[in-house]
Amino acid sequence: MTDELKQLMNQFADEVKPTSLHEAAVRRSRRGTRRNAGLAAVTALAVTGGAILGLNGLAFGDSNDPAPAASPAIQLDGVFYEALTTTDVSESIHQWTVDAPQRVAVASDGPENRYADTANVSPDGRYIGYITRDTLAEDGFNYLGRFMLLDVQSGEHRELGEYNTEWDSCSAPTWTADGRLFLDLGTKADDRYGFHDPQTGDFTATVDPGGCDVQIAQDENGQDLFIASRILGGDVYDINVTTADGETTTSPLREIFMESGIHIHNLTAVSDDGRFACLRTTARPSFLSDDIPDDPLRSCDYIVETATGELIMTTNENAPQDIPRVSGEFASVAALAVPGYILVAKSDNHGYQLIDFAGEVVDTIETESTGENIQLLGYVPA
Amino acid sequence: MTTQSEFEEFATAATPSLLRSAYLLTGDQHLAEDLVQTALARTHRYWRRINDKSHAATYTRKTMYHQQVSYWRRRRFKEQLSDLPPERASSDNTADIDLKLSLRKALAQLTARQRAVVVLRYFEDRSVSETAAILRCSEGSIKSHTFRALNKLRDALPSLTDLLNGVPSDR
Repeated sequence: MTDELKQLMNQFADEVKPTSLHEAAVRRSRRGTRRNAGLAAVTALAVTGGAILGLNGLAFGDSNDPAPAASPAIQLDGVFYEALTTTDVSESIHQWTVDAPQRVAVASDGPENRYADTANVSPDGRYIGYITRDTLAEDGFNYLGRFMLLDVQSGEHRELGEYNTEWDSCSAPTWTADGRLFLDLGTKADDRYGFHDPQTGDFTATVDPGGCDVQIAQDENGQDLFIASRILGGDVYDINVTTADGETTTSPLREIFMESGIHIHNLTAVSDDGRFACLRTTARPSFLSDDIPDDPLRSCDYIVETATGELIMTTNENAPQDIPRVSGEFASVAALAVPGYILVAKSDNHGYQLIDFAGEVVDTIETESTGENIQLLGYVPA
Repeated sequence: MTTQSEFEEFATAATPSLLRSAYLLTGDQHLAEDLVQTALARTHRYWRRINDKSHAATYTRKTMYHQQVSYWRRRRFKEQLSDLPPERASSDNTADIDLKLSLRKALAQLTARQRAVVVLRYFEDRSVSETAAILRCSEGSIKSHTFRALNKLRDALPSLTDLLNGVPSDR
């Protein structure tokens, strides 16, 4: 009978199409090496303001014109929170401000904490929710990880709960605009979904948000809106919007992307009102044959309108759609942290730009060079 | 032979086999390619440090399985039961298609670790001790995962029950 199972698995494996992967693997390997050794050289190439503007200007359709001058209407003047990852996968969180751009470590607890993939900063910057890696439990069978809350002010890391490999959880802790921390405690938890109040420690169960990568927005009545990606099977994802009453509607985004042969991979960020989202798709250059240094789990390459499925903007130079393209990378989970604007990590990895939905650069912030991979975790306006 | 051509020769030879296992682990062409590419990239990065190149295949395979059971990777790539039919055309007969679809759904019911154990043991013919070494856990843990995985496979779809009734949970 073992032979029959093997035979069936062989038939299943026969479905895979042969392909050559070594060239792409070598490119990916070299990118990692180059990135950590050569950021200073990249800085030198972009040393003049004109060059920086040229590298990071927006291109609309086939146009490569530099971005228009920044508007004085709004400036980046708050606190930036970043995850820094070294080659040995040691992760830390740093914060800095425009006035004090020297990065200050907020947490540096080695490789056991998954800051880059899971950490989210509370709206006031006081707390950071994150998840630890799963490690073998004392029973020698189960693998356990923990949901954690870092009090940035005191430096205390507080455990909020555990997850188990048998209890598939699929959303990182994420914040509501009023400072509640959404938790997905996994499929076997009595109350799988709920909000943790960092002030009181209370946990309040809530509705099934209808998928993974849950992000919380608020509707015009101040009610929670749960926006999530739902896996339909294999590589096929939908984007769902669920109200506080548990009513779920599905965005037309999957069908719209499929017209271009693109699948959605992650829901990375949403605007406070839930109108816009930043999605990670199979169209991103780093998918399979990428030419960018790394491929963070929470990167995203399309800004979209959730309800209508309209594609607003992309970072993919070769995107098949006729929509505006922005140079650089949307700033991960903080891409939509400033209402009405989009935060973009510059293509030279030395700073951020704030752009409006017309694609105009509103403000540019330069940051210090570092040999680590950097991902923006949050931006808290002053 | 240069380091580059040495790696190319290794990767070209190793890819088909890795890709088949990766497909069983993920159930998806793109995800399987991504998984193998990630493992090959890591091997390339450490190529000069692998003194005995005959160990490169083992190293790459281990890396691939570790990647797959990594919590935040599998979180994203876990399959769920779907009513969607397979999207690719096939020349298989209806019975074979049904059986493969059943296996696809049944495998999707497993946790990443259980699925890795099933692929290692019943597709790659690894012993309990070899599987434990690849996944870096105890033999007892492998036996437990195997037992639970087979029970889940039996429960998942009746069409697989007869097939699985005779499969031993350890050896």
